[in-house]
Amino acid sequence: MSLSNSNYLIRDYENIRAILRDIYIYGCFSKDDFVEKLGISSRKYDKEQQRISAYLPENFIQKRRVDKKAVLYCTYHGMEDSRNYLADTYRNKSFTALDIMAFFFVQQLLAETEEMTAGEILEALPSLNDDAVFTKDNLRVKLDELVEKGFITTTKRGRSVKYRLCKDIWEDFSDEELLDIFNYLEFMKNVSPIGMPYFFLQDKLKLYLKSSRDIDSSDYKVFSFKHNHLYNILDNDVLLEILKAKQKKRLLKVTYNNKQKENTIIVGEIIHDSVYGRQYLHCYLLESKRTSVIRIDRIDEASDIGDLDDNEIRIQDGMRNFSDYCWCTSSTESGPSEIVIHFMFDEENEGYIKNRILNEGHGGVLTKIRDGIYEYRLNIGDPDEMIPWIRSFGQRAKVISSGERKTEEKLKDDWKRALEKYDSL
Amino acid sequence: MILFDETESKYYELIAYLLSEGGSLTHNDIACMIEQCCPGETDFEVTEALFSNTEGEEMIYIKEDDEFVPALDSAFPVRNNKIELETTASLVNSPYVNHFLSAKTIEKLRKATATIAADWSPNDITVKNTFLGGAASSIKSYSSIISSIAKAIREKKGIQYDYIRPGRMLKNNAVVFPVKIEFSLVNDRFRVCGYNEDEKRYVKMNLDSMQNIMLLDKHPDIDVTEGYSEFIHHETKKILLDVDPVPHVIERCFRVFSYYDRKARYDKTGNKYRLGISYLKADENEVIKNILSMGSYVVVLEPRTIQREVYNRIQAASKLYE
Repeated sequence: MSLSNSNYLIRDYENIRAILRDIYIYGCFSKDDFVEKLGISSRKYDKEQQRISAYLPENFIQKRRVDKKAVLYCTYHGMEDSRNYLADTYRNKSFTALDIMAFFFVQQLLAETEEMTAGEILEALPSLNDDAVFTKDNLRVKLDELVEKGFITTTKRGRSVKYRLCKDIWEDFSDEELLDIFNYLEFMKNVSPIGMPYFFLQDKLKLYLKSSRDIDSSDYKVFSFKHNHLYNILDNDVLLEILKAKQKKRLLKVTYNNKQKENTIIVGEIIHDSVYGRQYLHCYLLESKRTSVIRIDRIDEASDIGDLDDNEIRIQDGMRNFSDYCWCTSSTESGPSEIVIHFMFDEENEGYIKNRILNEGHGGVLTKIRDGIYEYRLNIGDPDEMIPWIRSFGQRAKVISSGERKTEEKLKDDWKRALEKYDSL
Repeated sequence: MILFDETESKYYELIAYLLSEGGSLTHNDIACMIEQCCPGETDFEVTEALFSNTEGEEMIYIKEDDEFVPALDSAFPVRNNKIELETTASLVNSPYVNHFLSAKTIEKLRKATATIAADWSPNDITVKNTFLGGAASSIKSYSSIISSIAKAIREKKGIQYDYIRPGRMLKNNAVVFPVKIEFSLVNDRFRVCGYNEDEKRYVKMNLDSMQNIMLLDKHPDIDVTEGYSEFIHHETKKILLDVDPVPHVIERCFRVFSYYDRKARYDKTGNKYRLGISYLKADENEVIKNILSMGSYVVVLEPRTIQREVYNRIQAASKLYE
């Protein structure tokens, strides 16, 4: 048996991302559909779906036969068990014997001896594995990796470099405080648009509580989450690269749309839509010299390629507040236009509708015209982007005007079409 | 990519837990921990390589007689990596921090992470289409309240509270045995799900209407967690939708219902999508609202009662534009 023979450990998360997302969101596609939809080979699908099935517990991922074809799908009972099993798929990165031995042995040695040189560490390392023998050179590489990842630090003592463990940040916190932080992380890992780092942190805190405080926090499940789009987690590694590029003012090279497009970009605004769980990147495409909005779940890879120059920083600054006038991300070339909607409801028994408009209406001005009729006005980049929201009020909302977009005509036609569909049932 | 890292592997976590137990391990000890740390199918290539019986192939543990002994007998210190440290630093800047941590803990956390230079911030993400005036913008702090309710859930104890809506007191010194704290990411609000022993039923209440919350040293007469599962099972209803095969519609529809338990069917020959959703009875208005938002692209096939209601509302909406 050998780590390199494992079929399940993978080098690149991108291998499974697209298939897993479609299995979770749709759960109705067979192998043939995936081959056609994603343009992958049937062999690749077999391999990746086998991995995905192996990573996830049986009660979460299931298989059924539809028209003699196997279909993978996920089950989710968020009111009872809020665990996002998709996050577990991030825990399957391949590693070597040398990687894992260096990780544990170096930290164990530094827990015993506060400071050690590379030579002292090499001398103290157990030699157990004939295929993974530590040498001065490979140990230096592993120590550099541990420093870069933040587990250990270096101090220069004269001509020698000493290694030591990084600080235990939790040591001054009481058990009660750590449990409150643990609860907070349970919340953040589900609520933050970038939840994966909170997953990792909570799992590490759980390990810390067990090993350093003898507290078992496994059963501390007090939350359930509604409107939680679990699949966002699958794009968190791409999103993190984008956030880093934004903060550090760096240029990114992105490939997207099944690797069909590649662009060098300046990161503008990063937008998360809570209703549909879609994430967007407003950016400037350097090659075509224009701004664009790219769906983050369509980005296959994002890599840092260098600092922004002064001109590029000016372009980035100019992209601030892009979405201020957008319902989500859409706007027309002619700029914002005013939409006027009449909301009609029974004020005494349907007061919740007024609350809905105030809570969900992006700050639009609501004025009472007469009993049971309120007028709502909002300047918006693209009134058509509001159509699903307006439709969700059914007969209680009528668009009066919307500028050039003529949203009212689209709604009129769509309600008529819907009626015809039901009539034909 | 930086998040997909071997040090976050489930096998690293497995070894860390085993080392934290200390001492030698039996096959059974290892098997139990594999079950806890490695959900899904066991990868024997990896587990057998990590716990090799063969001399010269061992890694962290050495086989001695019938047991596995750690190669180094010193404890394994649990340390956070760079991303985890940056995440810890970000906790104090989240709009939700006051709902979970006391001012003293926040200050301590701020000091503990003062030297961490984070090169990313979750606050650089613009969150769109959440309700206004929710928990993220509330000046009210729920920290001690959430902590008390969480304690009540863990210890299966009751809480006493007053239920107050603007201008009127609806309940005074009421008692409930909380089961879950529910949070809606769209509404940005907390609700408490619990068992009301007097009325012998499960209730859901907005946390911002609950005041003067006090943890009681009182246990319920029934197993409230088990009862809650039965309640959910009993209250679950199903709906079947026909979704137009327009890519952006299918995507929006499947996404908007993605937090419900679903079963979907794609008929390639007829190019048809059918989406079955299981939802709680209390969420029915919301399900209808979402169906209406899809307009003519989604049609309710079953049950007839909801089909009729949606039809009537569409008919009335259509008349508005005549």
